[in-house]
Amino acid sequence: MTMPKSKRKHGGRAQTNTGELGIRVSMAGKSKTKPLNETPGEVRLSLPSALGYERIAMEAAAAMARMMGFASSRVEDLRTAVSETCINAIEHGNKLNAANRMDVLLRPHDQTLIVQVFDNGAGFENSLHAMPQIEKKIRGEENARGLGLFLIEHLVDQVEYKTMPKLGHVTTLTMKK
Amino acid sequence: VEEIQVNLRLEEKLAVVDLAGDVTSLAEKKLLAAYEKAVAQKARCVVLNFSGVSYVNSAGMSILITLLTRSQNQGVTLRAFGLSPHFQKIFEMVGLLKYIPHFANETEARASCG
Repeated sequence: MTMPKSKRKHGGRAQTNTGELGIRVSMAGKSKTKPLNETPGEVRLSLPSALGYERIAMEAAAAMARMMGFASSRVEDLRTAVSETCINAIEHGNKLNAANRMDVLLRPHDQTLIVQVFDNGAGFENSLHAMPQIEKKIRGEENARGLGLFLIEHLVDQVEYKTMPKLGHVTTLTMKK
Repeated sequence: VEEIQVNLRLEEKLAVVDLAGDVTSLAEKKLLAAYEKAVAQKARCVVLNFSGVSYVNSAGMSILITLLTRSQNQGVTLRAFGLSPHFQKIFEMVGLLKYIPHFANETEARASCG
């Protein structure tokens, strides 16, 4: 059983601000680009907001992590975390509206890879998501879905949710070697 | 997106469901249909073979929870083998392995059905 990582941040305690994010956010098919503080080696993906495209973000993040020398088990953890973050952006943030875009930034640093996923939604609660009560799900007392955020928060070193007025929502994953 | 391929091997009171491809929301119809066919043929233990699966997401895991709901209501046992170490860890994290025990290979999984 993987235990929760100790350092997690959520929207209420976010240290970054919109300017520091250096983001490109798409709103209903249009994009607003703010190329501030771009990280050398940064990769930007603008993807259709439809299920299946999370695979492209996942594979790109995995390729970047391998290039940086991450252990294979960490690469696998990142693949799942990025996939689930993108699925949340597509399903909940952009509400399966194909007119929206999902933007993904891969920001490599010496010992850390930061992955940011942008959508047009309102974001999530600023609290860690509890371990799924699978018994309740099996008995039908809880929705069988709802595993994604728990997985994300337990597979990477840090997760941050941030809602930006008029711009949407960004989930920032930090993965250390 | 790769659709899952599902092959059902039926034997007396036991069925092996061979999965190949991705276990995502797109797998629901085929996976549940294979399970229902196995139960209709009097299978009391269903062994899921994940050897050909490279990707399972949370929606795919939710389908397995749906399978668990049905199997517990019907007194059917679920077993698994062939998961990669990463997905064994993920299944353990969300609690699935408690209800769908994972075995090193098909022989051990079948033997556990009794």
